Amino acid sequence: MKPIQIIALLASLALLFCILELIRRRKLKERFALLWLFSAVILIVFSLWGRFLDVLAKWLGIYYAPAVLIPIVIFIAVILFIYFSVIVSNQSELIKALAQKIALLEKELKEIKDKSGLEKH
Amino acid sequence: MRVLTIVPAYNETATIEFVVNDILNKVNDIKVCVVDDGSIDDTKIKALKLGAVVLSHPFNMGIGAAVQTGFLYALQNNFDVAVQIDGDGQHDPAFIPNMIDIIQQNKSDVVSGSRFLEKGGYKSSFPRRIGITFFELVNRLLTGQRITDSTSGFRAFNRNAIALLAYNYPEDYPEPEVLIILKRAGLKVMEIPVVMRARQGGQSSIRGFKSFHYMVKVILALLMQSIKRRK
Repeated sequence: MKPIQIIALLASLALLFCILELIRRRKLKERFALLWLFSAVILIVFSLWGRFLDVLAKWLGIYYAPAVLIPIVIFIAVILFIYFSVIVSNQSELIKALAQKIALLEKELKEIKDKSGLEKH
Repeated sequence: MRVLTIVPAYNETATIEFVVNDILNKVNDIKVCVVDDGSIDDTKIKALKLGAVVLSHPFNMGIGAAVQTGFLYALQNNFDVAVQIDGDGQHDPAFIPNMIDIIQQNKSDVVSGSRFLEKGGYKSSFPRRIGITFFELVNRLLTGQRITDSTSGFRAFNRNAIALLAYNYPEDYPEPEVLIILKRAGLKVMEIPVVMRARQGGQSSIRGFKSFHYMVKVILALLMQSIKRRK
């Protein structure tokens, strides 16, 4: 094993550990963690099997093997960003619905209070 | 006919009393619902004192969300007609009875007050007129009917429209986008001429390059609205 392989492996394992630890501490929901776990595993495969990149590059017809990583990384990053935008949009929709519900409930509560004379204004 | 007026208001202390009283004075048998969109001034207290129904957002969410909250209230409380009117006093409630009549006679699902339907009622600068004409064209293409004032915030809605919009109200440019939602749901929109009062103070926030930018954004929003799936 070359030193770079050892470093890569350690870094990938550290990433995997971090994700698992975040799940354990309930800071990361499994739903979102799945993607990160998957990428950690891929990284481990890359670092253990150094020839993997060469095999992939040869199969794709790319001469300079490390160049394979660039489109892959960009593609994954774009997918992740879109995924997060979808989550944010959904959250803002939910927050709006919640706030509207609060407004309606507050009005109902006031009506009930006024009727029962619990609170005089 | 139970009629609810929805008044979206964000920091409108200066005008809210006038608006609410104006509606109550000019229209009989009407309930006024002020949707306080997270105001940080006395809008809420003032509206409560006037005897209006007040729905108060815990934080500011924009006019679209405010009007939608009004529709949710109208739907929950079984109102027959909902009238949307601005909280800044630019709309004259004297036109409301006419709007209600049109809905009562089943002539249309939605009645929208237009500044531009009758000539001479509204004066504006040349670039503004180009913008207005252009919008008219875009709206004609997207809704298949002539809409002269797509940004009007002075409208009346029947039960069908209330039920639809309570769960499908746009956020970014709600007034023109609503027309597309209505059209796609097969609801009828009719315009009536109204005279709007001049703004009490300040200048339109949309000027110069900003107005071009605004137009591009609105058109994009309208196009996207016309491909969106309904909830």
